[in-house]
Amino acid sequence: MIEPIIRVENIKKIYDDRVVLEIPHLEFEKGMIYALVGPNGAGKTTLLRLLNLLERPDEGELYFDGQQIDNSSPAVLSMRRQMTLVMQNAILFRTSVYNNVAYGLKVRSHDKKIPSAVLSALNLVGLAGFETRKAKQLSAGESQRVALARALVLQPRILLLDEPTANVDKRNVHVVESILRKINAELKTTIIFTTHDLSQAHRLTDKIISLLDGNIIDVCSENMLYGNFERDAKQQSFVNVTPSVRIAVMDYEPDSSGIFIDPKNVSISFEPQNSDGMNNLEGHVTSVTVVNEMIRLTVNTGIELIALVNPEIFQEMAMSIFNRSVYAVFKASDVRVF
Amino acid sequence: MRSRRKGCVKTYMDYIINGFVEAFRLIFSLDRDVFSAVFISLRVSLIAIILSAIISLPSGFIIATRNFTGKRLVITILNTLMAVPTVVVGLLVYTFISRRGPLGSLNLLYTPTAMIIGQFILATPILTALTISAVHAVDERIAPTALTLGANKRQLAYTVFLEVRFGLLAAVISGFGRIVGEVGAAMILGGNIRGITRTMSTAIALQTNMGEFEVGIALGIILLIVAFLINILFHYFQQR
Repeated sequence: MIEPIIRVENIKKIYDDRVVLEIPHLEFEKGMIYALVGPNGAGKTTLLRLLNLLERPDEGELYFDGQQIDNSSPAVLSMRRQMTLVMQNAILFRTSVYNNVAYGLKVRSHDKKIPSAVLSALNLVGLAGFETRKAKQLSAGESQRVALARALVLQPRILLLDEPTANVDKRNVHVVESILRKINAELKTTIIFTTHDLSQAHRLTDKIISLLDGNIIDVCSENMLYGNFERDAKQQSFVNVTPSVRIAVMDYEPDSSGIFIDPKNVSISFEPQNSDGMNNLEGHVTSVTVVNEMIRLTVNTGIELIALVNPEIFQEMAMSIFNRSVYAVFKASDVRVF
Repeated sequence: MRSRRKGCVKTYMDYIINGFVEAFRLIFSLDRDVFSAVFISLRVSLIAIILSAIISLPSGFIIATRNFTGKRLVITILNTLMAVPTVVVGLLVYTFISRRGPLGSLNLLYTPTAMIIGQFILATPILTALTISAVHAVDERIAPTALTLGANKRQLAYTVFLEVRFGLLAAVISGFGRIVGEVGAAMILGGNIRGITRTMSTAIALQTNMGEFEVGIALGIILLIVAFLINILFHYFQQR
């Protein structure tokens, strides 16, 4: 079996007595692209920072190439120099664009290749000719691309990116995506990125890791959907998941495309519940299983939705539940947007 | 009655205008007493600020970047020391270096060295406190960015230093501004000896007392020009 480039065992990260990340086991294979998806606060950024050794887990171990990382600084430094993280809202150093991109090579004392490497990295992100510009005078989108060039110039074995296209204007999203595909194909760079955009995750990889409240949930998990945001005349927001399935949400986030509905917040009823901000999706129950003393129902409403209901409620409906159509009911405020 | 009041105003105006005319004459004739005071002021304050910077900038940097118990207390004490009146510092140093004090045998009282010590003590809390706040003001993403790009600890510190360089320059300039114009400590420790410890500020205080108003104005103008030049220099560096 090929040793994964990164292996995570039983890690736990705690901030202020709150467990923000808890992962029993996770592997990243060499040369693959991984997308981390999940709502805000799910632990995506924390995981990236742990992988980059910027933070230490409170419990558990990290292995690179099968080697456990001890916390002595030479080991951390040499490991960290094989990878780099491009942060969301990356900050540039208060100097020229050239010096920013050259930074990582300079600290590694690779002085000879700096001039040509910097130029080709800037070229790659479409900012050729920006060398002498002051970093502070760039737009947010340009800064983000300089930050990407600053990482690419290092040709890291592992490239970590936190929302790589969140601050990039729409025209340049595909530029960034094709750069990632290119370096993955040509340099076999292992890429791990977070995204709010599930369709972007699917465009770049089929290895999608979903995080929720600090835990990894089934890859491509239940009740995680994506579609286009829309706002009607009454300022009510919707996500169009399919042409026939439209879900009311509380938050209007046109830049996002993913939504998640906790199965515990989905109930099943024979009648629609017509109150404000309530979603009623009509469909048929296709399966019933028992999970942790709860009843887990799969409802096909054009899309598959999972509902976890408690047994008493289920018993009242059980006799006829397969024979007639039901409504999967959930509040717009229970739809989490990411 | 009316004409008398008019006459009074005229006399006041003459007095002030004559003061300025004489002041400019002293400046442009490169009056020895005036420029000796300027020279002594700048020399004493520059040495004091350089010595203070050597101590304050690294210690401010360390206090800002490390976490230790009592850190808040240290910062509070520094902020309190920033507000200590200059005469109190003068008095404190005086008790140590006066003839009967513990360091009396060094014969430091009424020397430029005594003034440098006083000004050093005045400048150091300011420089340290301003260094701490300048380092704290550095964007919190800078350090992880340097680390993720492969910086070791020394390179990280240098990167943060480069980010904070204008803040440090501002700290040094504020410290210099405080000591170059202060009177209390310079008077008590230097004694305002002509040609040796007479600085711009002590000369202004004393000559004005003695009725030599125009020397005071001349030195006041030069002091303002010095402040102005320093600020221009600061802005020049900040633009870069």
